Amino acid sequence: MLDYLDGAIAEALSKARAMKAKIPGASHLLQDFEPLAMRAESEIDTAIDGLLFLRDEPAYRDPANIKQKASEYRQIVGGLSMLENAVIAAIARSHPDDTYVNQLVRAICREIGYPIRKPVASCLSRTYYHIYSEYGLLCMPLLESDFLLHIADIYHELGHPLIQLDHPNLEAFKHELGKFNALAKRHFTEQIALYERNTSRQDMIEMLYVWRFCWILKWSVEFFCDLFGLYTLGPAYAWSNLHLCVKTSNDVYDVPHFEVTSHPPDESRMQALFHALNLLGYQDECGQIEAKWEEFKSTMQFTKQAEYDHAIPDVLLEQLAVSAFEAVKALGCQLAWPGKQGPIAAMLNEAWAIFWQNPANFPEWEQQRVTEFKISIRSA
Amino acid sequence: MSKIGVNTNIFQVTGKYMSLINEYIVSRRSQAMPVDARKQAEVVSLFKRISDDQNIEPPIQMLSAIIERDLRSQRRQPKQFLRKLVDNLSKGDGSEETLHELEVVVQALDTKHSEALAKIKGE
Repeated sequence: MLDYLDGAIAEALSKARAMKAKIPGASHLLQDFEPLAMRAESEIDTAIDGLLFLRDEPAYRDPANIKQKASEYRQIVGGLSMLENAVIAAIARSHPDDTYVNQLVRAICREIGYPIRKPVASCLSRTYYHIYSEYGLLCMPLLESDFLLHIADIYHELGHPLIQLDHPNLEAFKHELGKFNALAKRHFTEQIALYERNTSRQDMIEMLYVWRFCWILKWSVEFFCDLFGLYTLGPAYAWSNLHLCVKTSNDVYDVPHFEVTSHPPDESRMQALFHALNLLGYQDECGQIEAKWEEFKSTMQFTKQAEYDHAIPDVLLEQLAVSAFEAVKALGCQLAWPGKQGPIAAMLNEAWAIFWQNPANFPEWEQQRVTEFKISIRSA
Repeated sequence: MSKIGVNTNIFQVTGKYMSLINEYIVSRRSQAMPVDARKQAEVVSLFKRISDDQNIEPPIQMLSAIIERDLRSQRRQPKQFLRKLVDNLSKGDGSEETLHELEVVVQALDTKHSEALAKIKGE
């Protein structure tokens, strides 16, 4: 096995060097991608150093440490694979539209007072908006930049690095998330103790463990990103989330029983957004969005499962909205208060107002507005 | 609603702490790579924070949740397991039993690390 691992390390070293060679030189690299290329080179160098250490360090030649050697090798190769498939692919396949989406993301970050360096944006995504926080790469679907109703998702993705990156400007934000997680953990731990004392419902106890795990590992992160989006963009974020749910949701009340899910149920995300809209002073808009949300659920005949309220206690959703509000304020970001939205937030909120005035005619207005906006952002 | 953002976070956090523990195990077992005092203190501090229910650092809360869930699935008591590990590490115990307990933790993190990578790649 040691011989095999040395061969595998040699192969990985060769691949890492080949990957580095795929990064275009200055004459072929879009200016917006320079930070990404620098980051990729640095990450590849770190991986190469790690592989050489595993190969050459005498302690890792000791058969007693072979498990650790294999574990470290797997980890480095996993990181290289992510670099290859996301970062190098984005750099190597850059598209003319990337220039505009980088201007757009830069303008959003400036408008909201984003507290860290903006990510590099790419139209590479084959699925939906997503971000690789550690590399500073935000991917969006190719056509999305020509439309307005889902631009809100950029704001959600900008939330992820605030949680993941180690940066002094983010301490207070993460502190609020940590306090919330501790509260959620305490809530479910108390519920588990209660059920263990008073019932023989082992199935319920197991589900409570699953939900506690989901909240701490994944859900609180997704909620905080949603709420970051709402507080910095305003009602357009909630409209956009409703729009996405209409397109993709099979059951807005779906809660896991055994398996961990990456996202909380859509109903809970909308309810958290409603709490946040009220905190931000958008009571009227909240009422309008809530009415449409109820109409959608009724049309689709979604019904709440018996476990839903146990998995998603409203007290946690209310606290989430408050905790994220404090967290976003602590970042020093520009909040989208009523009447005080920046130009991009105002445009995205106006888009929803126009949409509801006359949904059938919206595309015509939208194309005109996107064209004007692209011209203005290029000359800015 | 991509799964990538949240899974890159899990991938990064589990990877970082797996490496720290792996390196500690290797240096404990090897004459060639002695444990330095700073690394020893870092590992002890890590497990003290993981076993602290009041901890409010999100990455540590994540690790704690992963380890607890894994230990429960093996019908082990997370609190007792972690308390004993902290005691042994604090005493500088480098016995095979302690190193094996650390390997149990690495295995739990490794599983989540691999799962996160698979989800990032859309598998």
